[in-house]
Amino acid sequence: MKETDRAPAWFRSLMGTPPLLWLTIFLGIPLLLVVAISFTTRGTYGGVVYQFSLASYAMLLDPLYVGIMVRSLGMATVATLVCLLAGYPLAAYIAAAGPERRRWLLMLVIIPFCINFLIRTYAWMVLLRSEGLINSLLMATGLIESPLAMLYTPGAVLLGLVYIFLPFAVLPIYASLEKLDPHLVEAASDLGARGGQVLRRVVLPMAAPGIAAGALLTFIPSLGMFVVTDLMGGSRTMLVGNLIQNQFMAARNWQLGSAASVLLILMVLVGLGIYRRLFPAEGGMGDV
Amino acid sequence: MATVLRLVDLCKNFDSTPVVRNVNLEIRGGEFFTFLGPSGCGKTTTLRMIGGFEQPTSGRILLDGQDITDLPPFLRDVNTVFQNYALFPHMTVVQNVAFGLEMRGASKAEIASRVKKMLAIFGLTGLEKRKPAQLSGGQQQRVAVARSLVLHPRVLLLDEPLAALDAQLRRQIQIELKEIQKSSGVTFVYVTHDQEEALSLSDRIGVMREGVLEQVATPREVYSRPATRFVAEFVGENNILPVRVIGSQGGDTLLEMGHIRVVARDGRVAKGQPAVLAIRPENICLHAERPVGEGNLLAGVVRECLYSGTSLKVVLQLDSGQRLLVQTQAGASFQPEDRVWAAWRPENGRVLPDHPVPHGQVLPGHPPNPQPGSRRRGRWPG
Repeated sequence: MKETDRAPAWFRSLMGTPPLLWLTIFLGIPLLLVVAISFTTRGTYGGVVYQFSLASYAMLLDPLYVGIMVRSLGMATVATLVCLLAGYPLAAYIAAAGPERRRWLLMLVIIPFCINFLIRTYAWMVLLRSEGLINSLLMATGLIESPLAMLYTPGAVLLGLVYIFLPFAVLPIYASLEKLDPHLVEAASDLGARGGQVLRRVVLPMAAPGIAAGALLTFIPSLGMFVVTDLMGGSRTMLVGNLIQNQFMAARNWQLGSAASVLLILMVLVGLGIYRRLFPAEGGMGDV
Repeated sequence: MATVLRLVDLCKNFDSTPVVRNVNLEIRGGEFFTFLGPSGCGKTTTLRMIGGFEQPTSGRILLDGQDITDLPPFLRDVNTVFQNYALFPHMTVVQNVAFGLEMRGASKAEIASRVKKMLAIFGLTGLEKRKPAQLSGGQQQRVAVARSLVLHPRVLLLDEPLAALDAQLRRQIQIELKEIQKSSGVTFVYVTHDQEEALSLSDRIGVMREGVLEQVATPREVYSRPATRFVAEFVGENNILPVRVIGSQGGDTLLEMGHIRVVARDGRVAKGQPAVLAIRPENICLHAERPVGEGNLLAGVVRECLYSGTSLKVVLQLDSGQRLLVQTQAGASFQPEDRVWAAWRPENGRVLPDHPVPHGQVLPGHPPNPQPGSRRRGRWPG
């Protein structure tokens, strides 16, 4: 860009100030506080004693907490994979539809965002619980004799996560497939590639940035999610999000909660780092 | 030469609109055949049916006598060079050119040697590791042709492959394409709306209008003996004058233009039928004084003189009110408002059946040749 195309420096810094302030007050300072608290000592009644300590981090090495971390990573990974496997065909279907139909389908994907996700999660609970709709139906038709335990299982948590985050996988994949020049598919076919080869050699590589962005947008929030786990997993499925929430609220161990938060942030940063390594700033979703 | 590709009664409708109507054509081995026509005439659709990307509504396509109408593109021994090249953006030049050979399961050694040879032929050596985005338009175009030609197809289909290039580069690549076509011996089926390009490259041209193949002939024949009024107007510059056929005399047709009698050594329109007389601007002589002797003669006034270096184009307004475009030597000294006589020989006038011009009345000397920018917007233009 030429220098003359730009607004004057004072104007640019003026316009940049509000977001910078916003980021400092609502992101930077709280984050620093969390990091700081994670290195302090816990008071007898749960207060913060400003004395350097690595006790919280040592506590995280306890097999109980290591297990929670591993389970969280596993759950987020599986949720992400399911979202991608279900989201890709959906995105491909939408991208292949005509313009009018495409608008409708995209709206259907986005509509759930208009309803508070707590309400949507409660709706799932109504469907899944022992005396819920699905169990009642199955019992009434005589397919089962006693209600299936669907709610408060890891499976229910997975379902909840996939349900909440599927659109976040579909939209970036759709965006990348929609940009794909149909002539490329024709050219591949023209040069002798069959369906599977066209997909593997041309379509998937071209859609890879979108798929990776979708994976990231699913994986990161899944990792820290605690509402869905709380509501649909009951107390039996504890993930890192629940751990942090519990330490801050019920257990009043801010130090441990902060340490777990720092660990969570580090895990997310590792994920982002891998993404940036695979897709060095290609614009669009590449700048996540 | 033997027929390589045969189109039999080929038709294609989009929804219920016919875009290709009953095309019958035989393309010979080693030939450079061009489909020429304005945008929306069905030439690209015809090419896409040969490539296997569109299914004909009816009719058959035969390659070496074998019916390939229902074969998918990957089973047809024809390859396409797309208008936008459709190079795989995530692959390097080498990977692009090697793609087809890999799909055919060629050995690594064979792929490497054939790709290397191809890149050398197309002057792409040294660019092996580049991605398409790092190439110039001309280089991309060469990669696209190399990628298809490396497979030695029976027929290479080229869909306006030079439309995206600037005029100078286009002329240069035209020559390259023609040389490669000759040396490889591969049959080229080319699509263009550029009549100059069609004339200079092709062995034969098929001129299409509204889905109909109006004339199939050599460039010379298409230019000098157009079969229809549309061909006369679309290929090169032509003066189209409405005439009335009043009879014949020997091999000549007697015509009446208003109350002026003219003669054409051409007799394909019966008496009474609506007809036009097509005369090329370069076949008309201008005289400052009324010439003596036999010959067709029209009087008029010079309205404009357009100097082009190699020639002088003179726009006349005839006494009948019509305009006439004349091309004379650059040295001729005519001025606007000069009163002149335009003369031409009977064998230079072509009598053609008249038909309404679908794209609006076109002035002589301004064929309805669309500019690339004004192409119909749509997913599959042409």
